[in-house]
Amino acid sequence: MRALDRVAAVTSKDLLLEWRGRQTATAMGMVALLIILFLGFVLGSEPARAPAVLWVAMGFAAVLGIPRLTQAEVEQQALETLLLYPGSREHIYWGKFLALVIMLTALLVLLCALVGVLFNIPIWTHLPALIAVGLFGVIGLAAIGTLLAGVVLHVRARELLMPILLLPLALPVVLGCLRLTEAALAGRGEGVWLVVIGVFDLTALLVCPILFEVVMEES
Amino acid sequence: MRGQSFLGGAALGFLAVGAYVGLVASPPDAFQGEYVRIMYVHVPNAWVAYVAFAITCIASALYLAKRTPVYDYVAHSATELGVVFTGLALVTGSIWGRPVWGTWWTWDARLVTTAVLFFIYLGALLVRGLADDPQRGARLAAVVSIIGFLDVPVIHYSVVWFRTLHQPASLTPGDTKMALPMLAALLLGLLAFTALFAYLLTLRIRLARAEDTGEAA
Amino acid sequence: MGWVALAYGIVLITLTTYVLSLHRRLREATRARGISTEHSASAR
Repeated sequence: MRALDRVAAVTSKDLLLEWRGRQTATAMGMVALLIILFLGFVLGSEPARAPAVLWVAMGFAAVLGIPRLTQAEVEQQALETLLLYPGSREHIYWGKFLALVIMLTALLVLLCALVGVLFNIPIWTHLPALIAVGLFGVIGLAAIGTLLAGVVLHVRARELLMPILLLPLALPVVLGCLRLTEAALAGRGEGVWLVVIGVFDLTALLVCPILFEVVMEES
Repeated sequence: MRGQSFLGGAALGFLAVGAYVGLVASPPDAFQGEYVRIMYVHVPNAWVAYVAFAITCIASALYLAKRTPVYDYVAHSATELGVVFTGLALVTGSIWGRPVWGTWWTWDARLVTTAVLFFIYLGALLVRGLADDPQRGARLAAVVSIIGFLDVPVIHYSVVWFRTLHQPASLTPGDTKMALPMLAALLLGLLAFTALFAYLLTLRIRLARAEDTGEAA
Repeated sequence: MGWVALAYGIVLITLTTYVLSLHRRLREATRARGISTEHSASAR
């Protein structure tokens, strides 16, 4: 059970840091809101556009938010301390992954509410399906995002590099969730996309922790 | 060195023959006219880009497993060449599309996936260049290449199904059967550019080796 | 035919420039190695 304790410790540390600095988290939510307002205004707020605006905004907000996952390690040089603790680096991955899942889920809930209001979408009637789709997508984004948060830890211009790295790699998740959200709102299923995101999520969860250990090596 | 010069000479020869067949000896297409000749450089460029990608991934995986510098030289070289040839594939594809379909860009799945591939290559190079130190840069680039390689098939099918599940597929290049001289031109092009790629790769690996020991000294 | 010439031209120019730059960088790198080995030789 020690492994689970370590994972939980990392998760609660990251979430606590986010909560303490929640002004910055609020700023991230504001940016996401701005993206939605902007897109909605420029492209028109027909209900049909809602899933696209939602997931594009989600992708860009994730790009902004994910570097924050390793912000403490960068700023306070907490990385050496973190790595000194006994236990596999994989536990650090899972801890941060869970923290990111929670943060992205909160973000998604906020964005769904906003989009529902601005685009006049009946979210409540399709809530279970939307929640399922959302979780599916968040898991994929968080799996890749945690790895990339580690990658940009030791790199200059980390905030600039994140979109270049994340958006191409996370494209299947964004595209898939977009179509699945459309389908959920229309009350039908889209098996193909479930398989796509399922494969993506599974592969990411298998491969990223291993690669994360490589990324966290001291030089 | 001898082998490298031979390879370079062979590549040049193939390219010359390929250019002749592609530009002069082969007939124009029934539908596209003369513009089909662009295909004889576009498709080989895309082919080389994907071969380079495969080499990058294999070399990256080997480097992470064994940590021998030579694998990193290969991965770095293949990534740099991949950027060049992916860029060329996108540009030639765009130039091909303009007169044939009247548009600089189509959201054809292959073009979009190639564009995404360009960004993955670029990401790997940037991560390598912007990292704290070269060794870490090599490791991070390897990680990006590997995760990219695993993702590209998923990306490709995502793009295909994103557009075509709801609307019929647009015209895709090279779907129709080809007349023999045109097929010959295409195959010659593939051979020529593969030889060129092999030559450039050996050259670039030599450069990587020279630059590395230079720094260490 | 202009488009064809443009495509072939871009490929030709890009690859030629790249090959030439590779050769140049290789010359500089081997020269740098030569200089550094000279230094260590003269230090002895």
